[in-house]
Amino acid sequence: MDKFKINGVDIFDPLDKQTLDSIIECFIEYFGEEYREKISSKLHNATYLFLGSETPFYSTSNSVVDYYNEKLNKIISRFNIENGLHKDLAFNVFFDKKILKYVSKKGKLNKFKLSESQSDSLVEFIESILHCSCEKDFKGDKEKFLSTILSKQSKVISKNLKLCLKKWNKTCKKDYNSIYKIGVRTRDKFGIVERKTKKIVDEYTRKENKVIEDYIIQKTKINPSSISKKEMGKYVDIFKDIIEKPNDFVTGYDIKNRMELLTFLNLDKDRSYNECFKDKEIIDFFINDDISNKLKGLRIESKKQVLKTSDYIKIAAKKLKKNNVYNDSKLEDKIFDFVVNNQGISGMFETNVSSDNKVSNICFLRQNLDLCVDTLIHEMTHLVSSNTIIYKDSGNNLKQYRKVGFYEYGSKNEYSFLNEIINEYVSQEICKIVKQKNIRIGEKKSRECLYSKALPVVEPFFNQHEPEIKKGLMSDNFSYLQDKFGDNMEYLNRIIKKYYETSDWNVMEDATRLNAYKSAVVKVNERIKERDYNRQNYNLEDKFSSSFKEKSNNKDLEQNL
Amino acid sequence: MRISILISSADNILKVFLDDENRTFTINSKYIQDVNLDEFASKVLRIISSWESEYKNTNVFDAEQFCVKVEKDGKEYNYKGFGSYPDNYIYLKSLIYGVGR
Repeated sequence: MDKFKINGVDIFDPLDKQTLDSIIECFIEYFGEEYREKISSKLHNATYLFLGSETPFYSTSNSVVDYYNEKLNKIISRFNIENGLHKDLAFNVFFDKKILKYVSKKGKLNKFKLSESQSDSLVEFIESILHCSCEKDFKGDKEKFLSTILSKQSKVISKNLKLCLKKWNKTCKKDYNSIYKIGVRTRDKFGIVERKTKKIVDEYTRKENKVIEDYIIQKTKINPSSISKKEMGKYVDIFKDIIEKPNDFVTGYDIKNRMELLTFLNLDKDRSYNECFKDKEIIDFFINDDISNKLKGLRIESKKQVLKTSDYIKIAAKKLKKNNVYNDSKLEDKIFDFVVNNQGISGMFETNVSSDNKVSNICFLRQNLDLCVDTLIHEMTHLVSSNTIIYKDSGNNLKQYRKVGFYEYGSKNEYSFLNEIINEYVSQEICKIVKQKNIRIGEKKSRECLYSKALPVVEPFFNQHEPEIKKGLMSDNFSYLQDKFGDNMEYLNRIIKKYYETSDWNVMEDATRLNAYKSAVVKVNERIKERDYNRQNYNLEDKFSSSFKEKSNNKDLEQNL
Repeated sequence: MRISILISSADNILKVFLDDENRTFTINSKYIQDVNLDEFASKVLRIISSWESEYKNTNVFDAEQFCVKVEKDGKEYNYKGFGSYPDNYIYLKSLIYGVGR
C-alpha cells in the first residue's frame, strides 16, 4: 500500500511512538503518577484507526483541497499584509489582465464589464492603496466609486497593480506555484483512489436499473429505441418505488407517478389507482420475487465489492491485522459506516470483544487533515477510563464486566450522557497540557463539539469535584461517583440532558436560561454537601430524620426540573 | 403527513421537519424553499421503507445517532439508531445534504 504522506506525515498513520509517548505523559500529569502503568498500558495497547472518507457529499480529496487552499491563502495574506493591502484581497486582482485594461481605460470599456468579484477585488485594492472607503465616501455604490476614482487616478492605480505583480513574481510566485502543483498532484492521487469506490457504486446502481429495464422491455415488448434514456430512467425509478415502498407510505405524489407508469405500460385501462392495484395482473407484474432477489443480491454484492476495493477500508484492515485485532464482519461494518456512511462524526471509541474473548480497544478517528487533537484526546480519555473483565460465574459460564467512565455496558445505567460531558471536561483539561507542551498531531485547529456546549452549566461543579472525578474514571468500578453522590447523580444527568436537548445551537445562549440551569446544578451541589455532612455525623437517632430530609429535598428538586 | 428527522453526534445536530399540509420544510429551523417537498417526502419514505424500528450498538462511544418519526394517515412510525445503521442510511443523509446546501 502506498503511503499517503502530506507534509511528511502519513495522514492515515500520524500517531508515531514519540507523539504517543508525549501524550501519555500528559495523561499521567493530569491523573497522577500512581496511574502511570495503567494509562501507559491502555494507550500503548490500543488500535488507532485514522480513517478516510468517501461519501457522496464529502471525501478525503475535499480535505486535501481545503488543506492546500489554506496554505495558498496564507501566502496571499502574508503578501497582502507586507504590502499594505487588505488582508483578504484576492491576489488575482493584479494578475487579471482584464482588470488592468479596465483600469488603464479609466473604466470606460464598452466591450465588457467587470464581474462582481472582479469589481469587489478592485475596490478593495484601491481602498488599500489610496486609503479611501467606498462605504464611507460613496455609500457603498461601487460603480460610482470606481468611475470617480478611475477618472482621476487610473495611472496611480495601474502603476500599483503592475508594481504588486512585479513584487509578487519576485517574492511569492515560486512558493505559491510549487505548493499549488503539489496540491493538485495530491488531490488527484486521492481522487483516483476514491473514484474506484464510486465506480463500483455507480456500476451496481446501473446493474440494478438494467434488471428493471430489461424486465419492462421483456414484459411490454416495447422497442427500447422508442423511448429516451431519461424517460426510461424515470419509469425504472417509479418501478423501484412500487416494489420498495409499503402501501402505508404511498403519497399522492407517488400515486400520480405510478399512474403515469401504468399508462406507459398500458395497464391502467382508464381505472383509478385503487382499482389498478387490486388487479392481480398488475400486482403480479410488480411483486416479482425474481426481481426482488436480483436487486437484493446486487446490493449485497455492491457492499462486498466496496469493502474489497476501497483503499481507505483496506488501510484500516491492514492496521487491525498488524495489531492482531480480529476483523469480524461487525467491525468491518463499523469501518464501512465510518468511511462510507457517516460524514457527521469525527471520532468514536469501542471496546471489541472477539468470539475467543480477546479484548481490543479501538479509537476510530479521521485522517490527519480532518483530525483535531481535542477529538483524539476525547477518545483516549474514554479509553483510559475503560475496563473489561472476563470472568466465570458460579455456574462456570464466561461473563463480561465492561465499563467506560461511569457507564456500564448492558446495565440500565442512564448516565451515558453525563458520562460524555464529564469525559469532555477531563479531555479538555488534558488538551490544555498537550497544547502547552506543543505536541502536534492533527491539522484541524478546532472542532465543533456539542458536549462542550453543556460545560458552562456544570464546569464549576466539576472543578469542585475534580479529584473524585479523576478517581472515578481510573477506578474499575463504574458506579464510583454514584456511590459518592447518591441520587444527585441522576439529577445532574437530568439537568444537563434537558439543557442540551432544549438548546438552540445556532444562536448564542441566553444568559437567564444559562443561569437557571447553573442554579439547578448549585442546588445539587448543596445536596451533595449536605449528604456528606449527614454521612459524617450519622448515628441511629439521626437516621430517620436525615433520610426524611433527603427525601423532601428530592421533591423540591424534582419540582424544579 | 409530518416527517421529523434528527441526526446528532458530538460534532453536529441536524434537525429536519416537513409538514406537507402546511407546506413547511425546515432544516435546523431554516425554511427551505425551491425544493419539491412532495418529492423529498416520497424519497424519505422510500429510503426508510426497509428499515427496522431500532438499530443499536451500545459498545461504541460518540457514535452518530438518528431518529426518524413519520406521522401519516393517523398512524405514527418511529425509527432510531445509535452506532449501527441501515444499509441505505447514506441515501437519507445525501438527500438532506443535497437540499440543505
